[in-house]
Formats: sequence, C-alpha cells, structure tokens
Amino acid sequence: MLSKVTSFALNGLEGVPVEVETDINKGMVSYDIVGLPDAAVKESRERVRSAIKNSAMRFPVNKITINLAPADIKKEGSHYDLPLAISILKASDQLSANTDGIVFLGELALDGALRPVTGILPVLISAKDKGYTRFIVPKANANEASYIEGTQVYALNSLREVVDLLSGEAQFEKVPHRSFVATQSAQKYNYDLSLVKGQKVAKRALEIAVAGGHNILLAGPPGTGKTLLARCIPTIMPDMTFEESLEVTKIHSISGELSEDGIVSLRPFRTPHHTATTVSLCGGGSGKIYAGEISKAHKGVLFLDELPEYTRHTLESLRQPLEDRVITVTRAGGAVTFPADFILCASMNPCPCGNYGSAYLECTCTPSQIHKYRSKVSGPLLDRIDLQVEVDGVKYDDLASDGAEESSAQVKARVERARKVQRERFADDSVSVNANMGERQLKKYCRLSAECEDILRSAFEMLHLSARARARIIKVARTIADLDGSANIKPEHILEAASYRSYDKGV
Amino acid sequence: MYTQDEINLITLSSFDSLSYNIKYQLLSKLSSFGGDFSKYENILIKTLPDGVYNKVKAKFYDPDYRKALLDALEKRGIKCVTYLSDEYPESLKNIPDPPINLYCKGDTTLLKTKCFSIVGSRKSTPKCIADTKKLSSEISQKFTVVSGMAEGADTAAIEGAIENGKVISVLAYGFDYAYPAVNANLINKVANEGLLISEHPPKIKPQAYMFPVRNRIIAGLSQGTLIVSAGIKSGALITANYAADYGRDVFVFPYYPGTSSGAGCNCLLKNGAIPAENILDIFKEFGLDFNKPKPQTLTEDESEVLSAVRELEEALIAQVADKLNKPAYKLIPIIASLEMKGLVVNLGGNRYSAV
Repeated sequence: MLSKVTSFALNGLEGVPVEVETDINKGMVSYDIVGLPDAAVKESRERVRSAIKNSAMRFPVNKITINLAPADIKKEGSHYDLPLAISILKASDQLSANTDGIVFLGELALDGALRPVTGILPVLISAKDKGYTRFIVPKANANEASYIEGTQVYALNSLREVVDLLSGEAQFEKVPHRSFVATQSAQKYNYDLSLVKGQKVAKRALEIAVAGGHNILLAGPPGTGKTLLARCIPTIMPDMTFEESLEVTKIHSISGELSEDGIVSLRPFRTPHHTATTVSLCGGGSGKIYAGEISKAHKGVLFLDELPEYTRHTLESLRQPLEDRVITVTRAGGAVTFPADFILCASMNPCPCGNYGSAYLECTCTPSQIHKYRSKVSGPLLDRIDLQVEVDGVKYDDLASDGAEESSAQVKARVERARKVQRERFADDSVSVNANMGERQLKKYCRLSAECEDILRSAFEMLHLSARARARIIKVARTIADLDGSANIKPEHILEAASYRSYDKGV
Repeated sequence: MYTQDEINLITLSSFDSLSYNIKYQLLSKLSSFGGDFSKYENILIKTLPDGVYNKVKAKFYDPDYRKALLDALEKRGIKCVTYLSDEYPESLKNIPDPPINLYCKGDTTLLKTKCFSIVGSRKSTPKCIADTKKLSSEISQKFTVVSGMAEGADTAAIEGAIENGKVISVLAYGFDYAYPAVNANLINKVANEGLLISEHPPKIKPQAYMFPVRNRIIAGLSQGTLIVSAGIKSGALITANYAADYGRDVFVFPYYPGTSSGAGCNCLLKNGAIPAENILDIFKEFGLDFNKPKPQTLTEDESEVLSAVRELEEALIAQVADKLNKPAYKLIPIIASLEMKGLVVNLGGNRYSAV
C-alpha cells in the first residue's frame, strides 16, 4: 500500500515542502529510504522502528520503500522521524486518518516520545506562505510555534498522542497564540549604562553609533571597561519590532539556539572568541549550510574583543557583509543568503603592551611597534568602522562614583528620537539609518556649508586623515546633527565626528 | 662638475675594504699625491692583504668603474659634497673625524647655513613629541634643524621644521635603504623640501654600529644640540657627548624625576647642560630674538577650554567638563578644534595637554 505525508526541508532559511512516500510490498524483508537522505535521516530507520513498537503498534515485516520527494534536494536533520513513522503507519493500514495538508515535524525517541527539533519557526513561516496551515510539532517547540497567526499548531508529547489525535481517539488543545509584546516586555537586559562610571566620551560615542547604525571601535588599556561598555550597546538600541524579531528568531532557530521563550525578543549580542574561524563567523559548513556569528548577530551587536588577535583572513571576510548587510554563502551544493545587519563593536588595546594612553602605567612600545600592532587591522576594515574612540585611560572602578550616571533608558529615548528623524528622511529611500547612506543620499541629505567644508579640509590636513574617511565623517556628523535636533550639519558636528577618527591619525 | 681630486676621493671612499681610518689618512695626503696611486702604496700595502690591495689598485685605475660610480650617483639624483668641495661645511671640518664625503639629496646650500640639532629617544611621550614639533618649527626661524630619521623625537623635529624647508636629516646608511620603514615617505619629503645627507655611498646597508657613528655628524654640523628626551642609555646621549666634545652648546628638556624617557636628560643637566624650557632659553644663548607668531584667534569657548586644560595639566575630557560644569559631549568638538589648531595634544586615552 502507498501513503503520503508532508514535511519540510530547510534550505538556509527557506522551507521547501517534502513528500514522505511509503510503499509496503510483499517480498524480501527490507527497509530503504531514498531521496538524498543524510546520515541523521538514515539513522532514523532504527528510531522509527523502536518508536512504533514501543507505542504499542506493529512495525510491518515486508519490503518497505520510503521516498523523500523531491528527490534532488538533500534531506538533513532528525525532524523526518515523525513523518516517516506516520507514513509507515498509514501504509500498513494502522492509521486511516486523512493527513492531507498537515505538516509533520519531530524527532522520535526510542520509547515513542517526541523530541524538539531546530528550525520550526522558519518552516512555519514558509509553509504558511505556501498555503499550509496545520502543523504537528513536538511539545518542546510549542513556544516557538505560538507567535505565527493564522496557523493551527498541535504540540504533542509522543507518537501515540499524534496517532490518537489523527484518528480522533483523543482531543488535544491547539497551541494558543502568544503576543510578542507581552513576551518582550517580560524580558530585560542584564546590563545598564548606569553601571558604567565615567567614560563620558565613550558613552557619547556609543549613543551616536546606535543612533546612526554606525560601527564602533573602542580602544583603551586593559581593565578600563571596554567590554562592559560594549555589553550596554543592545540596551540603548530601540526595541525590536515583531518582524525584526521573527527574522532573528529564524536564524537562531535553525542554529538550535532558541531559549525557552521560543522567540528572540532582545537584541542579540554575540561575542565570538578571537580563535573563531572564517566559517564560524560568516556561515558555511559541509553539507548543510549553517548561519555564522554575523547572522546570529542580525539586528543586534557583533562584539569582537581584542580585534588584532583575530586572523587577518577572518577579519577581511567581514568587509563585504558590513557593506551589503547580508551574506551569501556559496558552496558547490548551492548558495544560501543569510541576513547580517548588525552593529560591529570592536575593542582593542592601543599598543602591544596595552598601556599607551594610560594615566598610571608607562607604555614601553616604540612607535613602529604600535604602528605594526595597529596595522594588523587593515585599513579597508577600519574604514568601515565609523567611530574609533579611545576610552578614558583610567580604571573604571577607580572613578569616584558621585553623581548619578545616565540610565540606558534615558539614552535610548534620545536614540529613538534620532532614529525617527532618519526614518522620516529616508521614507523614499532604501536605507534606514545614516550609516547605510550611499553616495546619492550623501549628496542629497548632507550638504555642507562653506564653513563646514573649510573645517573638514583643515581636519584632513591636521589630523592626516585618509581620503576614505571623508564620507564616514560626514555620515557621523549627520547622526550627531540628528541627535542635536538640527536640520543642517553644523561646524561643531563635523569637528566632533572628526575627533572620532583617532586611529586614522597614527601615533 | 667634480674635480679630478674629488673623483679620486669618491672612488676611494667607494671601497668597502678600506676602513675609515685609512680613508682619512689618504684624504690628508690627497692634495700632494693627486691621482698617482703608486704614492698611496706605502699606506695601503701596510694595512691591506695582497689580494685586496691588487683589487683596489685595479679598480682605482679602471675608468669604467669611475664612470659607473658617478653615473650611479647622478641617476639617483645624489650630489656628493666631498671634503675638498667648497660646499663642505666648516663646522664639520673642525671636528676630529670628519666624514670624507657627504652624499646629499636635496638643497645642499643648507650645509652652509647656521644649524641646530634636535634629537631624542624613539620612546618619547606624546607631550614631548608635540613640544618638540612646536619648538623645532620655532627654531627653524633662525636655524636649519638637523636631526636623524628615527621614530619619535627625530621624526617630530623634522616634521616641525619641514614647513620652512630648513631641515637636514643625517642618515646612518646609504640612500638605497629606508629605515625605519614607516618613515619612507618622510625621507622622500626631506629630500624634496630639505636636505638628506649620509657619509656612506648609496649601497651601504643600515647596521647597528653606524648609528652612533653618524651622531658625530649631527653634532658636528650644529652650533647647538637640544636633547628632547633620552633614556639612561639612549643614543641621543652619544650625540650630546659629541656636541660637548666639539665645544658646542648642549640644551636639554628638564624632566620630572623618575620619568624613564627623561632620565638621560636630567643626567646631562647634572653634567652642566643648559635647561631649555622654551625657545627663549635657546635663543638667549645665541643672542637672538624670537619673533612671536601672531596668536591664533580663538572663540570664547575655545579659550575657556584651553585655559582649563592648561590648569589641569593633563586632563581627561571628563575632568575638563567637570571643571567647567558643561556636558562632556559639548567639549569634544571644542577640543578637536583646539587640537587641529595645534594648541592641545592628545596623550591617548582621551587625555589632553596644552602645548
């Protein structure tokens, strides 16, 4: 007898429907899966066999042929266990219910229990687009599946429950729809800007960076609070919208990194260690193409601590995604595009000994050593970092803690105001923040007065700036003007923006 | 362009196998011996092994070798000012071990101007670098500034004076090399706008022992020498010793006790060097007046911030903000503007100091 059950395969973040066809015939006892299954799918034979037996049902002793169609795309992952089992039960006449239009996803334990799988949310979203509305998923994935409206999702504990539901022997509740806003408001960041004492210049730079979506480099002696400052960046970013949140959740879902809530409602903050490989940052892998750290930091912050310690090759690979805000990972088996719209925050010591600029310790490096250390970070990458700011050369716990520090919420309010100005300005353009302005928008929205041009010119001469820094300075000046509530870029905005190019100046 | 004697001298100095001492002995006999090599034999045979002597002799008479030497210099745009040349500075002739030739790139008339050398350590503080730059620019009103090409203080001295074009940089090695590599651009700039000199032919590689030897030229060219920074074993102290030996004035920046990049300076002070806090201290020794440049026009905010930075000596922007009771972000553009005008210097870590 023949049966057909629907499941989904994921190609990057895109779901593709997969028909699980089972044919049971008389003949030599065998059990074959065809249709480009990977190791995890092939192994599912044993799980499915035990799960069916241990759910008080019979595993057919005949010639079983299972086809995963379309046969030309690779099937990976353990979520085919459930559709395989259902398909076998149907083909062996143990289940007669109509399963048309139902999408099955789930891994089976040997005792028939349903185990959680990755990628539920991206499957749900693509399946809904393709007209599928009914889903059966493992109980542990219920939260993840609860945010998409217009779907009927059953989250069940075991194969037995699935069979009972399909045959009508038992009733189960559909997964109730959850509101994103409620989940989000229950979440809080662990850090707050008010925890950082002093560091007024660096805080100001963070505010500008977030307001205009600029990348930022924090340079300073060890122990001056660079990492703490970086951790505060998500706390001053505007709250994620539901759409943004879904985009981020999709990536985290396929990587299997979702928390209990089933949705990412706080801005991600990713800190890959400096031993990270290019593939782990950008995405890739043999067989299934995984999302890299830059995609997991989508809509959030990618923090690269000790920037010069990363291999040059790894850092150079960031250049293109920093411009395009997406990364296309190409392998012989196909290409996958992941979004990668993040704020890059990097930190580094100012020199090899780390004490350059410190108020207490003497730097023992010669200028050429410092030069060599800093040139580990290539010019083109540094050019993509609009704000290069030195943190105060004092230990932050040495600073007198008198006077209340501003909280993240206060800064966030100003950031949101500046973002609103930008949204209105770019209503007809494809960009959303100042940092992403192209040549055309730069001409249109950043006209400089004669006085500003003069200052910019002398800044170039006095600070020995590279020509490439020009557009960056103007963009940052535009953001500072937005924070200032000023329609035009004023001389002080240019001056302040130029002062954040300290690493172009040399030592 | 070169006299026969000068060509003889250039040829002699091109022989790596001859030590400075032999070359100097030959130099003193040159006018009486002229181009007659046989007369050099007495000196050379005593010191050279036979094989080397024969090679030197063959090359000395080889017209192709001589032509190639001069062509190579011309092709590189190098002018060789020999000891016998009119352009050779008197101040160098007076020292006990003058360079035989000065290979020059740039404006050789600077050799005859009044010179003042500024040297210091490679590890100088940012404040010292800024002060050196300013002082060097002021000194170049009246003197040609002479220095080396090392990073740190030497570079600052050259950068300060190069605007007036009155700068001589003395390299320790041949012109075919650029050391330190970070200063490759500056070396070219000095050749174009000032004067680059070396006592070695172009193909001589930089080697550690050459640098202290080179320092005698810096000291010898100059009427005075200023040491802006020096650790206890700094090469700048060698220059100071040469200058003192030659009877030239030695000035130093005084340092606070315990500053490692200034220990050598204070040591010189104890031995009788003249403390120089500013340009007036130096010009006074030479009986010169300093024409103060017109003060730059500052806005009210700028002068307020500048005086606050002066009072705090080394100030974080946040400290200036506290002192003036203004938000820090309002001060950032003002300090940036002051920095561009060269009135404050960034010490790293958002600390600033007035120049």
